[in-house]
Amino acid sequence: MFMTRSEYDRGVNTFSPEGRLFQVEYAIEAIKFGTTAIGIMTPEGVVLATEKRITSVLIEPRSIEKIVEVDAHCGCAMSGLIADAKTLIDKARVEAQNHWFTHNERMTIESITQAVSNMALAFSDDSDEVAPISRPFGVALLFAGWDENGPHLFHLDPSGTYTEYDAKAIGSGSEGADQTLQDVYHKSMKLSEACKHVLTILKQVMEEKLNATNVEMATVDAKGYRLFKKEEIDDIIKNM
Amino acid sequence: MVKEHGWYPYEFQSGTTVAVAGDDYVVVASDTRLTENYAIQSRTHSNVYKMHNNSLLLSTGFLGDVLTLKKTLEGRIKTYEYTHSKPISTPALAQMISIMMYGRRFFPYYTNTVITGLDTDGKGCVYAFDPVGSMTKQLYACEGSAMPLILPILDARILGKNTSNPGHVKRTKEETVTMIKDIYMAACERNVELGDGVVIHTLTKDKGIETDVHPLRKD
Repeated sequence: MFMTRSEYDRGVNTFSPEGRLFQVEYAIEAIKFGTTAIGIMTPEGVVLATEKRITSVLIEPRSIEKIVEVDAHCGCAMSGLIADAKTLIDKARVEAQNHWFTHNERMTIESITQAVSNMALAFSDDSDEVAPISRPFGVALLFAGWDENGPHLFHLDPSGTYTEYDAKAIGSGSEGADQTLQDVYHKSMKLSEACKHVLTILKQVMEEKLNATNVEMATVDAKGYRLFKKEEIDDIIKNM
Repeated sequence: MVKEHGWYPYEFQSGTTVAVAGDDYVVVASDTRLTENYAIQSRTHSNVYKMHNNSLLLSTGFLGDVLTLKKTLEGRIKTYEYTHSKPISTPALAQMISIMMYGRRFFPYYTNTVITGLDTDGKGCVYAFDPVGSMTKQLYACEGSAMPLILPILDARILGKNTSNPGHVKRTKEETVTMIKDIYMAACERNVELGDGVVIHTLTKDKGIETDVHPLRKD
């Protein structure tokens, strides 16, 4: 370790002589251990779906939450160290509410993502500094929402880089899922069609057999954010 | 009798503003007299400020507070643009002004403020504030020293209030400009703080801001 990477991967804020921030790069690697999360944007709205790893029959599946509401018009799916997402989601929610409070309008999805990305590199290992966390966040987020410009899907990684996508997968199955997304995606896709596609793709990349308890799904359309009930997911699985 | 001497940080420096919203325009006006007690400090000071996002700010009261409010707003408008990559809409700006003013609840800006502009559909909108930020969206507004004289005229002329013929009278922007000009000419006969001149700005989606200036009596 010491020899291969030299000591430049120790300090979280130290560039290596080649100009790299190893801790940030390692954080991006950490996402690849995470459960798969997929988002597809359609003209009618955006769908998010994630897998839940139910490692024991004694786990209460409802307690595993990887898709959350940020505001009435915005949802977020996560992959990686889920506990790290807590801080970021809190930030997103506060920013969205604050924007509504100050301007009496919905915050755009890009602005929400931007606000959260500002936190991504706000880490510090200096105890004198007031930083929310001592290391980079080990989580990637997919922000889905509907604002004044219609549907949006943004991907945010631990380096704070964010990019808008038509369709994007994160987590352990992301490589295969991204490939399939490229094959099936088209601009005029119906939202119902996209819901079917995300589950089909999740099914392909998941190790366990997909069922209504080990996936989560939510949509955001002009009416707002909606988390699917178990029965609704069941109906889609039956028609796959 | 004990006379108390307190520190009083405010001064009312006159100025009268009028704003009228139309379906596709907004007309705003201000007289150009600036006073301090019975002294005239300026005969050319307009209380209309063009904001970076094409909203028009009308603010009278204590000039120091008016200018500080205006300057703070200019900063906030630009910050909004940089943060959200779009110009701030007049309704969003109005809400922001309300929050800013209430933030100074216990040492308020001594201003009577109105913000006007066109909404996203190009429709005229007028928001009026009290000094601590209570906001109402209105069809028309009048603030400042001659407000008690002018507001009942606007009530009658625009909404037909307190007349034998109530109802909203819609006017073209030219008719509105003429009406406002006439009102200022009448009001300056009865209010010593109103005079010197009136500037009338018309804001439309197509033509932007057009400005008319009319002289008023100078005594």
